[in-house]
Amino acid sequence: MTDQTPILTIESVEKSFGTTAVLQGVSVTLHEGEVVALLGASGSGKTTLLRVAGGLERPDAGRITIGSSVVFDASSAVDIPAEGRNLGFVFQSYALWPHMTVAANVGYGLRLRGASAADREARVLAVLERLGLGALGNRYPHQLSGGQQQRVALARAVVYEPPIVLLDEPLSNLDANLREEARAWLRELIVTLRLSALFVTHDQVEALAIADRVVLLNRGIVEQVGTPESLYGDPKSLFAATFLGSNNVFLVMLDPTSKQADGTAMVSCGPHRIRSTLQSNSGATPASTAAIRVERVSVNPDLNVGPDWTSLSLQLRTSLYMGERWEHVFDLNGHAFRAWGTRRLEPGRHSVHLPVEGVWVF
Amino acid sequence: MMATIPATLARNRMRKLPSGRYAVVAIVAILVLSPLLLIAYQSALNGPFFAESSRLDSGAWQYVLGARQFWRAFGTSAVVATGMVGIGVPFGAVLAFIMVRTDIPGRRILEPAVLIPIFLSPIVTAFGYVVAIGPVGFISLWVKSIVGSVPWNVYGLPSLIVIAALTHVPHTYLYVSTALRSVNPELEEAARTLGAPPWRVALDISLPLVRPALLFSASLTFLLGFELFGLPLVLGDPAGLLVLTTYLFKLTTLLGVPSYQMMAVVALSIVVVTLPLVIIQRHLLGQASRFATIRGRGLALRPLKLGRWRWVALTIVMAWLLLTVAVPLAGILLRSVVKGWGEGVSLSRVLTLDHFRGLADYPNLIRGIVNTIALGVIGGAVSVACYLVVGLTQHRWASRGVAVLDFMVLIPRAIPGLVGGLAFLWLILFIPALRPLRDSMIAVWMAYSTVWLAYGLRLISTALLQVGPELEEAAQTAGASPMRVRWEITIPLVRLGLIGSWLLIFMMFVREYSTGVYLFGAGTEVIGSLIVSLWGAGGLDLIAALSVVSVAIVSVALATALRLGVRLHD
Repeated sequence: MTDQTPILTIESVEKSFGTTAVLQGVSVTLHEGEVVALLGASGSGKTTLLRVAGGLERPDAGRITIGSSVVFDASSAVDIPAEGRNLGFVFQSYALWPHMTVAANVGYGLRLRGASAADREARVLAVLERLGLGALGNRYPHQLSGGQQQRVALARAVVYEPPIVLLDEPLSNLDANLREEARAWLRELIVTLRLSALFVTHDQVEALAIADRVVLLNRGIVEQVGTPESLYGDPKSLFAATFLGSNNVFLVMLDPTSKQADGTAMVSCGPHRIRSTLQSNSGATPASTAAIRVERVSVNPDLNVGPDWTSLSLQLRTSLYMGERWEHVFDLNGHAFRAWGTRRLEPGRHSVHLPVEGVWVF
Repeated sequence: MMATIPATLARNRMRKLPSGRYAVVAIVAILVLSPLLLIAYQSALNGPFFAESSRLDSGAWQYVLGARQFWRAFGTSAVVATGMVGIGVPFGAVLAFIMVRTDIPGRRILEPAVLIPIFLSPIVTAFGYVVAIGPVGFISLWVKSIVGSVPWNVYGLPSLIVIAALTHVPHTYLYVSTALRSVNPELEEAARTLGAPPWRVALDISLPLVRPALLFSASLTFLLGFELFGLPLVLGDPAGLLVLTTYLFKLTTLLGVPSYQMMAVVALSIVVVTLPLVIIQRHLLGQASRFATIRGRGLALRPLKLGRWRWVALTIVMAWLLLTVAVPLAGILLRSVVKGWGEGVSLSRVLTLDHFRGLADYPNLIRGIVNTIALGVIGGAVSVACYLVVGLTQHRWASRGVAVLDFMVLIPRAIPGLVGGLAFLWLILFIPALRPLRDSMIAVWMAYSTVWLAYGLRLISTALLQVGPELEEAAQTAGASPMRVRWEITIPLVRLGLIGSWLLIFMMFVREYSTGVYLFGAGTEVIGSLIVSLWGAGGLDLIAALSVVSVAIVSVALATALRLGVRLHD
């Protein structure tokens, strides 16, 4: 269960490398027992933000609080170094020390905290057991598979029960098939160990699947924060909408007179008029951009189309067989417009149906 | 339709390099092995190898191995080498960690500064110590005027060990700092996120990770300890202390007659120690590359914060620089501009530039300076060209020839300059065709080039490795023959590396002294060998002036290298 006590607060953090502003006033809060994903493309500043939180990078401005203690404050020159922040950090490369055994790697944090040898051994064994690595304590990192190494890295970061675990692209070094398994495993583990975790990923599926909340970063700015469902189902900007999922994006003209109280309006795309939903800040100018997730476009002729739907008659350009589905590419005013279906379609014109709440105008 | 291959392209494809490559391997093998084999052969004779009457005989071995003085020198060499490892390697490792991983103030200035001892001629440094902290040195007398006596003795075993250790710290620093830079910073960051303070990161993670580099540095320092010549000649000899090299050098004097077979035995006994060390080093280097971990994403590592300890670290580094660079250099500089020095002498009364003017009175000294510069500039350039040929031979050649070449290149590293020079002298005497080279700079150049072969080749191959294979393959697929690829693609791409190598070889040739000792004759003097012979004759004024000239030449080259951004190490 997510508690509402903030355990990590990052406030208005700024960071530049030379003349490149990587973080431009980012604020993120992590609550106790919560899993938050920092999602963004490369160059969005997500890894820098994680390293700033961990004390591995010094921000130029802002404030960072862990629990009740301020660990960084540019205005009062507080800067607790990484070793003083009592965090767990899982590195993208795992950063397992090649000259130490698995047990020595995992036990190192306990050794630094002055745990007795017996206590250390017991706790290391317990955490290794918990992660399914019980028999591997005496091995060296290079003798392990990628998945095992990843779990050792996690074990090393959590064995001394830090209040927060920071994970940098924890699954990116795993093979594609292993990664899908690891998603479920990581989520389950973080929840059962009652960890508060902040993790960085560029993989939207990973972020949506593992996190309680997702922070979407775009060029050093927080684009949107919310639950995975709200981020996917109610994006507040064109960037947020198109960063996730598969989308049809097209230019439209908004008819200002058609705005309804419920936030819907009519837009036109060439000869087509489409009922759509105005997202925040949209409709300021008539020329706008519309987006719809590909899976929300229906080509089912038997669909019971109600008043909330727009039906367009579009020319089929081509159809691609994708295995579990067909991808049909239509022509919408000279641009490709994709829809998924379960059947092959004959060449020619077809009815394409769009739900009003699925067509977002920005 | 098939396109016909133009005739020239077809011919190119046929013309591969192996025959030329094997020729290079053969030449290197001859150059490297013949001196060594000649020494071995000589050691088994009962007279000079060129004398008709000489016969195979084990007498020389029996005599030398039965001589107490030989074993004493051997023991001293071992003690000095061990002491250098004991002091120099831990200090060099700490220095490397401080410089690479911490926020020590003034790092940008300190980084090139800590390498200076490598470029200083040991004979110059040794002389600098004598005039600075010797019994009547400037610093000694100053301290004596305060505390009443000189609390140290620059001559003798303890000071020889300490000075040799301190001046060889940069070797450890070089290898350990390079290794530290290749350690994935995340490995250290991981320890820090777990709560490790800087000194624990160093002891638990960084230094164990560079263990192969530490072992390598230890064996290298030990090797250099056995090859030491200038320092023991100047600092040990007056105290009656002989190491193997100075024993070899003094052998003729000690025996009263020149004895080729005895010299050969002593020379070979040094190589018997150094060659296994070189082979161990090669093995360690292979291990080191296996140990190397992938770098992080190129994110600049946030240096470990030392807090107020950073000033302590700076003090340690500065104290070492003061002792190893400033004290000897200040010594020779001051000595070169005073008439004499002693208790109660006031500086202003004895100031003079006569010693530098004095250089002009001796044609051999002027010739020595000219020879040194010419050897560095012209000889250095030719050497780099030769090293480039050898380097290109190895370059992208999957063959057993590479392994042979690799091994051949190792051998000169095991041969101290003194021994190498001696061997080349003998070769010239031995081979009638080479006799005209006697008393020519070409002989000196050949000896220098061979002694520095491993070093030069390392510089070249470092540069060659930076050429992406696809750049060469692109030319090859476009139809260029292997020769043309090298001439038109590879060599132009490593141009800057070649210039850098030239500068570094220049400095090494200028600072070199022991290789020239036996090859030195009328007309072929170089600064280093002149200092050695003047030291025997006690010409302190001229030594001081020559030392300053030598340091000045190296400084100009060093400044140029830094200006051009030449990496002082690989």
